[in-house]
Amino acid sequence: MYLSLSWRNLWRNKKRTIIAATSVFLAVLVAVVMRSMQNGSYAYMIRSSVKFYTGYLQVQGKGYWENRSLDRSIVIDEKQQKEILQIPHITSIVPRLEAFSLVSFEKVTKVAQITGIDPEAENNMTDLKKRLVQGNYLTDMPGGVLIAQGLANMLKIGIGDSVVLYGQGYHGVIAAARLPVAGIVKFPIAKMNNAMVFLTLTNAQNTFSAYGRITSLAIMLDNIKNQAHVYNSLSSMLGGQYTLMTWQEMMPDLVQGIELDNASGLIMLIILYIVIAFGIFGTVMMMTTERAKEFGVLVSVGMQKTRLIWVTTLETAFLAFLGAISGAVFSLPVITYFHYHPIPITGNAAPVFELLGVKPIFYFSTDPWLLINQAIVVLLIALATALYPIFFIKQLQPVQAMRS
Amino acid sequence: MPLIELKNLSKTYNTTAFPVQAVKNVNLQIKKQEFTAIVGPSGSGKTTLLNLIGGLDKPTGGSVFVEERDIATLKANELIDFRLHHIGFVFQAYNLIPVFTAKENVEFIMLLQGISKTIRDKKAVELLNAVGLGERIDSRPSQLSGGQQQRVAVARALASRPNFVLADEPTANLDSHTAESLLDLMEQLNKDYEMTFVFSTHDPRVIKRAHRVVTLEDGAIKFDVGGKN
Amino acid sequence: MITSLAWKNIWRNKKRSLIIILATALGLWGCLLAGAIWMGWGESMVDTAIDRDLSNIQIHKKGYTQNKEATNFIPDGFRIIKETQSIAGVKAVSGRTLIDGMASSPISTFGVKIVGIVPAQAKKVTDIYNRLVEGNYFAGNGRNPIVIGKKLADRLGLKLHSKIVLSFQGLDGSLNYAALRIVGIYKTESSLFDQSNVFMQQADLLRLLNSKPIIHEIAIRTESARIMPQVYDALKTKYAHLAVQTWKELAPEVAFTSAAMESFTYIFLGIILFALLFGITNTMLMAVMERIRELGVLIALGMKKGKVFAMILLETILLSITGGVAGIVIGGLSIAYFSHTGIDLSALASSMETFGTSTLLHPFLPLDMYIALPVMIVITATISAVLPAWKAVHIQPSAAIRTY
Ligand SMILES: Nc1ncnc2c1ncn2[C@@H]1O[C@H](COP(=O)(O)OP(=O)(O)OP(=O)(O)O)[C@@H](O)[C@H]1O
Ligand SMILES: [Mg+2]
Repeated sequence: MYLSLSWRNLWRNKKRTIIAATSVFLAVLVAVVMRSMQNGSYAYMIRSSVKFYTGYLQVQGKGYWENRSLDRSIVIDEKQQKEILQIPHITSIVPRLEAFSLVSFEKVTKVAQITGIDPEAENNMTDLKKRLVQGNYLTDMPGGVLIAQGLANMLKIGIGDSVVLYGQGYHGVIAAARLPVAGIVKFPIAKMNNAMVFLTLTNAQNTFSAYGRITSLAIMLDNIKNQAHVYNSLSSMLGGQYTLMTWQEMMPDLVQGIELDNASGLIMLIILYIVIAFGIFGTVMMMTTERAKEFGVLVSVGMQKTRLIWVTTLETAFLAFLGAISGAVFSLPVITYFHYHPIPITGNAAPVFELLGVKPIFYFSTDPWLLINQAIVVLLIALATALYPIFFIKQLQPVQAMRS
Repeated sequence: MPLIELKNLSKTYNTTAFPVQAVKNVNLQIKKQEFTAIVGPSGSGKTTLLNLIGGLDKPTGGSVFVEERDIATLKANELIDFRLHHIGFVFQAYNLIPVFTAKENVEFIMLLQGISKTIRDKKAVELLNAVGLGERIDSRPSQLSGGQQQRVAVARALASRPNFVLADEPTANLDSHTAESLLDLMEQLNKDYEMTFVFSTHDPRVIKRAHRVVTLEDGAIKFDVGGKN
Repeated sequence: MITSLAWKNIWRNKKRSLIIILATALGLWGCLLAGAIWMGWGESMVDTAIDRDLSNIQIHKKGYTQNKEATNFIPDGFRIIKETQSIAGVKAVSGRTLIDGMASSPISTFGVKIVGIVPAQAKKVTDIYNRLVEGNYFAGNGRNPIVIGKKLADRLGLKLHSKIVLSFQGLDGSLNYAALRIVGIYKTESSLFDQSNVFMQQADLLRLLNSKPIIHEIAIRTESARIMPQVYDALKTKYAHLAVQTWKELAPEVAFTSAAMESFTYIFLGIILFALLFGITNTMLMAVMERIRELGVLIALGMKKGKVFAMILLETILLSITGGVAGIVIGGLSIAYFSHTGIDLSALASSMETFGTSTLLHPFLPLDMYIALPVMIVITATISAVLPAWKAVHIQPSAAIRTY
């Protein structure tokens, strides 16, 4: 009967209750959709950035990250590579040898980043083959080089022409090579498109006199959740010999960009929550003061104030649950829809995303915790407004209340 | 031993522009099973006096003893429980719970007392039949006339089987037939269960049946007629 | 008369009205301040980019941006520098000779852009001279001085007064090497910029290139941001054969991010007002219900429905505008305060730096937002008033007077 008293009080003024519940409902919906989009996009950005080049983890020589010096290159032999691959959750390892060098064709000379790769492993991780716009992909044969489209245009070089690499090799040895262009690849990021040259790892090692050496070993995982775990097993396996870098360390811009965006999103949510809290508070207050007389009667006829407080708190709880649960339930299909139909970004924003190496698309996360968390936060806010009737009833003077 | 004893009871309202002394030095003893009417012109302090007796209002002077206990010594929660188990109220403005039906209004007080559902149901229907509202047990207050609401209020007051009932103008809106039957019911309870009644009223039908008539004027007792001594 | 009646009606239930006024005021305040910080951040990002490198307008030879070859210099560049200096609205002009090259040390090698400048000119256009952490900005008269970024110095393991080797292609296609003395090390907010830009005196660079005086880029600062379009138009018509671009065209991602801040603020305002809408509707609905008897009497006495509607509408607008004005005033004051003192984000410094902005933000809101906002509030109020006013108009006088 207490329950039904609360329930009926709620429906005494249907419109008001519906409006208040709707504001809770919308708060949950807006919060969930916003967080879903933010979290989904972060997850997507991390996944694609990691896949794009760095991998989740990289094994490097000590100090390599600071200097990018070939002198800090390392040797990881096949036995060690096999051992690393045996660590659970590691799906692939991608060895690379990277160095800057001059590249020339006929009269033009440019600076490029030369990367020696294992063609198969590289393609598995970064889909390099898909970037091919002309010619053939690298094979393990002592083939040629893949050259980025922008750089090829500047050098005015085509398939079959031979490019000259000229730079500094391992321990200051002069590095020089003349290799045919096997294919042309295209990158969305202008900086890369104007500067990348790929060749097989063996060719690179020979060119830079870094026989058997690599500058980094990129590591892909099945799931980002296992990163910490793998990090630990890997670093204990490698000992203090090498440096183990995480994607967070290698891409601080991405991490901080996410943090900053996340902070802005949270500030927006907090302000939204404050406004919603006031709306609910106003409604609860009206529902309370309006019934001052009734409360007066109930206390007069012998209802303990604590019981009365329960009844009113129950009312607020009903209202909050109604809004929060329907909000969570309704936002589920919304984010699920957008999860499968992500929103493409058009107009001026698109190039910005491409600069970050990310497809210009808003992804949505369907992590159930997102729903639950937002619903709980809004619910708690709504329940906090129940403090008003408690306070009101505590100081209620029945005679005065009845006279009003 | 008096059931209710008022000693030098006074109440002054200071909330107004100049203080209003609604009850002045009232000394009164009401015995068990008395059927008392408090009469007096409008504004003479009847409602105030009933509120003081029921512990709804705090006196500014003197005290109220119920069964020789000063109700001022009761804690807030004890006072509420005391009202729940000992007093039945009929308010001048009925003050029913708007979202409850007539039956639920009556039932609710018994729920507060912890009475089981079957007994509540049975008694609520009985009482509403007794006040002549057997047909309207499922109506909400807003669907009832003033007099019907008043009768629900009376039924509610009686439902808790109180030791005494404080009724503020219980017959003000009733036709003579209904008023008489309501009074019959109260007389019955008064006799059968030794229930004590204190009314405030202008109604000659009530005054006629009262064992004792206390007349108030400007908050003080002017006459006190009848009463078994 | 009707306005004062509406105003008095609002204050009949002080608590209730205050809650909605407070909600509006706090919501808008938070919104405006957050928006102002975002916009201040966007502007700071733009300012830093302009001061560091971009300047307001740049002139290149057509096609230079696609193919940054040394031979793509601006014909008659020095005459154009002279001419532009006398164009109205132009504050300073700097000519830059740009060569892509490789910077090496015994430790490592990096691709860099070699920028040949006339220090006196460059100082008026960009603020690198102000960003030195060590050494000076071409103050001495040693041979072949160079100023490099801190990041590059670290990567190459170089110190002030160390020698750095640059290799680059001359105009004739020959490869040149030059050893230069580091006289200054600068640090800007962008480590990417610091890593990839080195500055030399134009005369030195030209001598090393063995070239006649050539200029690839003319950077122009205008007197103010407002006059920029005018200067741009003048330059564009005068040098139709050259590529004249504003910083917005040169760095669309910076322009976009800055512009996005404003849209972002408007979207946020929209969400907050939408949330407020529910609170206002509920409050007014209550106000109508509470006065149902009184309104019933008014209608019974012959008050026209239009008048009743107008009265409720007016009350709603007054209520919302009161909160709105309060929000705008505290918002405006706090923005004014913070834009005076600046908001020190040094706690977030590292993340702000990667985003290329200085850490002291000066929040601001454009004037049109202060104008648009009251309009948005009135629209919100009008929408919120519909339901309560409809309810008031449809009161049945007989029923209302009977209402318990
Ligand atoms: N809460 C209050 N504040 C100020 N004055 C009050 C208050 N309650 C009652 N009064 C005043 O006290 C006096 C007695 O009021 P009371 O309600 O007891 O009269 P009553 O005898 O019940 O009148 P009626 O027959 O009209 O119901 C009146 O003058 C009234 O104005
Ligand atoms: Mg009275």
